[in-house]
Amino acid sequence: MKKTGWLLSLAMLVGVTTACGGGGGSNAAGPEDKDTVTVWTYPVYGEYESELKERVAKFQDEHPNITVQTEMLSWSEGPQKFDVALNAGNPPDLYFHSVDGTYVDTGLALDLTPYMTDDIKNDYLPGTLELAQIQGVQYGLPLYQFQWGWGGNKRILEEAGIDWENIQSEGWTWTEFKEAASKLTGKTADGSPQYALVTDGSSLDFIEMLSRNNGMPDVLDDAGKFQWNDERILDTLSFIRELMDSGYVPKETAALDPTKRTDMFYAGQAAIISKAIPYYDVMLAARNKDIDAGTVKGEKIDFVYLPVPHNDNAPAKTTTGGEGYVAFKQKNDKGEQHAENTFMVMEYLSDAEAGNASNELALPFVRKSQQEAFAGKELGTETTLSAAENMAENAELPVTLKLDAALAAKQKQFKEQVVKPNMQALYSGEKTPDQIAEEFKSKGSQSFGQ
Amino acid sequence: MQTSVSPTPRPRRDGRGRFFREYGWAYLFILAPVLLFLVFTLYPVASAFVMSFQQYKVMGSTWIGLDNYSRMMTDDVFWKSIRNTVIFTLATVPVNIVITFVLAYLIFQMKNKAQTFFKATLYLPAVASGVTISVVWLAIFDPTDSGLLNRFLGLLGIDPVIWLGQSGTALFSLILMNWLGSHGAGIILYLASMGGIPKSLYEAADIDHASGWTKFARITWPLLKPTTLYLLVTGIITSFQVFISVYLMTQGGPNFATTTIAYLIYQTAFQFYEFGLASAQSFVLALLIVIVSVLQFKAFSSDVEY
Amino acid sequence: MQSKKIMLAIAAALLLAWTVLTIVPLYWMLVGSLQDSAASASFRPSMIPEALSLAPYERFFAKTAAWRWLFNSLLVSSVLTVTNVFFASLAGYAFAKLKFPGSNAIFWILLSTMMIPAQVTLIPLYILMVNTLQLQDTYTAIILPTAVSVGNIFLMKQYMSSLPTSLIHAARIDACGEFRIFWKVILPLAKPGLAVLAIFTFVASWNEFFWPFLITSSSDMRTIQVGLASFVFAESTDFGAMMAGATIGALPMMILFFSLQRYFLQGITIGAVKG
Repeated sequence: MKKTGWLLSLAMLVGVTTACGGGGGSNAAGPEDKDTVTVWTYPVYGEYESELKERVAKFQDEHPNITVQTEMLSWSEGPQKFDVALNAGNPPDLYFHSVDGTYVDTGLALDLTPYMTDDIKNDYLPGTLELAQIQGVQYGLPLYQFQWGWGGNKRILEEAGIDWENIQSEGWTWTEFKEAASKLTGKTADGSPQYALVTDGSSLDFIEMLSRNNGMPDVLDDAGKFQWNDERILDTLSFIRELMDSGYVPKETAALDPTKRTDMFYAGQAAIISKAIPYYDVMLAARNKDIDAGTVKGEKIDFVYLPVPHNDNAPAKTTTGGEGYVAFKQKNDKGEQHAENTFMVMEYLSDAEAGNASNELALPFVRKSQQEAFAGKELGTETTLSAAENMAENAELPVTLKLDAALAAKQKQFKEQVVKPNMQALYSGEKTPDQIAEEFKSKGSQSFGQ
Repeated sequence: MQTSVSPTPRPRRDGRGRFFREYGWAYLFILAPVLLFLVFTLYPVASAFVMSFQQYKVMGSTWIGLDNYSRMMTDDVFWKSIRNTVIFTLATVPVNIVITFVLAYLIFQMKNKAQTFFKATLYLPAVASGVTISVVWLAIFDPTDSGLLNRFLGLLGIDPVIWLGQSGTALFSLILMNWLGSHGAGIILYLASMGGIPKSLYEAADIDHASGWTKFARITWPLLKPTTLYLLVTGIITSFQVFISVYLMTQGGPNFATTTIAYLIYQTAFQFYEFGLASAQSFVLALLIVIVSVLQFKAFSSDVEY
Repeated sequence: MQSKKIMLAIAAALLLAWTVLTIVPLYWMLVGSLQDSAASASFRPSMIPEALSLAPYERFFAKTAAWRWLFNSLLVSSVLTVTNVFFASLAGYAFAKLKFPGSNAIFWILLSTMMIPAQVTLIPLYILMVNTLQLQDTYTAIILPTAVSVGNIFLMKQYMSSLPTSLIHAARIDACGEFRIFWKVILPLAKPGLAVLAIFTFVASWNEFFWPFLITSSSDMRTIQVGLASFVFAESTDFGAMMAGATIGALPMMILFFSLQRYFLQGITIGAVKG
């Protein structure tokens, strides 16, 4: 009996510790050899997943030796999964994201320079390829150039007599905004408060967009010089404080999240929300249809895409950036042929047909071939598209594209550890603009040595 | 009353063979867990420990000695996060044990059917995922006067509170959420142990006309100590590592009011890619938990053998 | 007698109130899943459901590979439950009742690793699993790291320590092998504890999100929680379907719980210690 006991335990042990399967990476040498390219991506727009599947199938028909493995990640957890894989030395070959200095800093981002033929380069519209370069080196191909503005509720704007068409074409100053805001603040039909502007308390877009419209491209400028240490940032903070004190912005801002912001916009409690993309036009049109069909309850809302107001003496700037596929190699490098295959897949997923991303999102195209392929098929209303085009003219590229990785990382840390908590303290009224500007100055000189 | 007859290790008499016959089984019984542990837990932990002395880079880390540790010690946010974590733990773990115990005790008085009903319903929240729960709690803490909690306060004539948006109430809100969270697992464990207490002990006490309190202090509480210790230790471990509710509800804000150590570690690792520093922070956190746990074992486990 | 009845009534009322409080999130989940309001931006909990509809469930199943995900979760959670119950009770028994040299030290080393937050061991574990063992996207990779968790060994150690040692001695005198003692004497005695461990492990494995998410890449290998998360963010406007998914994800655990719960009651009286 004793023996059976031993044997049984051993058998269980062996079963658990050795149940390992195998699977290997491939080492392609020639252009005809079998190879697998992995792609991690996101639901960029509604139909992206199914379109991608079709396109990948077509690509594999044309290149039977290459298998393309795609994985659709969710926006919320996907980045973490990628971060773990990248820092374990095993990133996917292609990843959908904006290029990032920290990626380059790992030494695993693939320099695309050798593969960028003139044909490809010339197809990109001026100023777009730069969106996927870090310090001049190409690491990705942009799929679209995004931009952030503010979003307005047409009914409320018009009832208050705001000439939004003029704002779309000419822009507006902080003074003009305050005038408008006083007319937009009040009560909704059902008696709940109606705010001129609703923002959320957790993200940094609001302060970044406003300071950008007060002469500061970011915490640092292109050259790495610290910006948020003088009157300009103090003015910006005081402007926000003033909006809250006047009741134009909800006093609960510190505890509002982006979902709540959208919710208040839908409920007609927000005349303007502090972050919007042209795609909202398409999205709200779909919602209005659902309301007509009776599947959704609520008020129909017509969307007005608005530029962010600029300080009276500073130029208007639109917050932009590029997203698309970024290429990586692995710690255990799979060789030159694999890199070439990776680029081939990348170019295929960024070609004329892929212009549908810009089209669906109602953004300006990034490639000439895409413009041609989608001419006359644009989604989004004429008004929003032309407003977006207007705003693209004073686009401010992200400074992180020009900064070296270490400095970009420092800026990120400064934003998370100094800016974010101080903005929350500003919203909740726990600190004054002066105190915050002072803290930015002292903490900034510690972080950046300036 | 205590039948303490644990097998005392006999002295080794005739060398190796004897030793194996004596203890071989015990080692075999823990072999599989220990092997799995060595590969899938100890190895990663050891790697992380090495990392804490390095600036981690995937293509080649650099050795920087104690830099990560000294950087951490001079970081205000780190100390703030320790403070928040300790407050959170002190405010939740003991209260949760009391809530769990009281609920279990109440349920234990019930008839079988009622016991089943309460156990089941109180355990059910454990099956809902963190995301679902947080969606509901965000609605409860909604800062406008249409928020559920604020509507309730309104009935009492109290002005709406910006629960998660100001340093004064944010951490408390998370604590409140924890109090009202799931105690089902603890209740089930307590009930299992309460059921294991021999009725004869109470009957003997009844003969001596012992008061309810005496029965509780002399019989119930001491015999439930292994369970209480388990709940305390695991409660402290999870509350020292509280992360998901912070991540989903406040992201450490406002103004670091809810930044816990685990959240800071997450930020350090995944927002700033400072895996070395994050490891250093983790080992300090672990040391803290180990110290607290040892103290609890000392206080609780001396007389639980029977 | 009268006062005892009143006390019981008060206790019942208290319990009921508490139960209602904690069950509210689940109730809203259920109500939300039965209300067909596609495309509402956020969640407005209402106590009384308006028009009930199963449409959110239809949409959820139509848009996802939910059956496959449920199968994966069932497989992974079942295997993990079996391995954890067997190995944790074996080890817990050894730590509690078979005093052997080094048992305390080994136990503390095991326990103290529980105190390292998972965030920092993720990368080494990922390197081990993906780079070294090349196990990504397999069931083995999902299962191995938690095949027997330290927390469960701890739970079993605590539980086993309250079982009567006299029985073990009796069995030893009958010259039973140690494994036989464990199998024939200890396990039957420990049934209530094992049932508790089984349900805890099953629920924990079922709800585990991050590791399966990290280590799987094809849709076919996703567990229900991983699948749900991807669904939630792809369809963030369809609140009804989101809640339908959450309900589907929680349902198997409720079923398991109700089918196992009789062991919690009956088993315990059998396992009672003679004083």
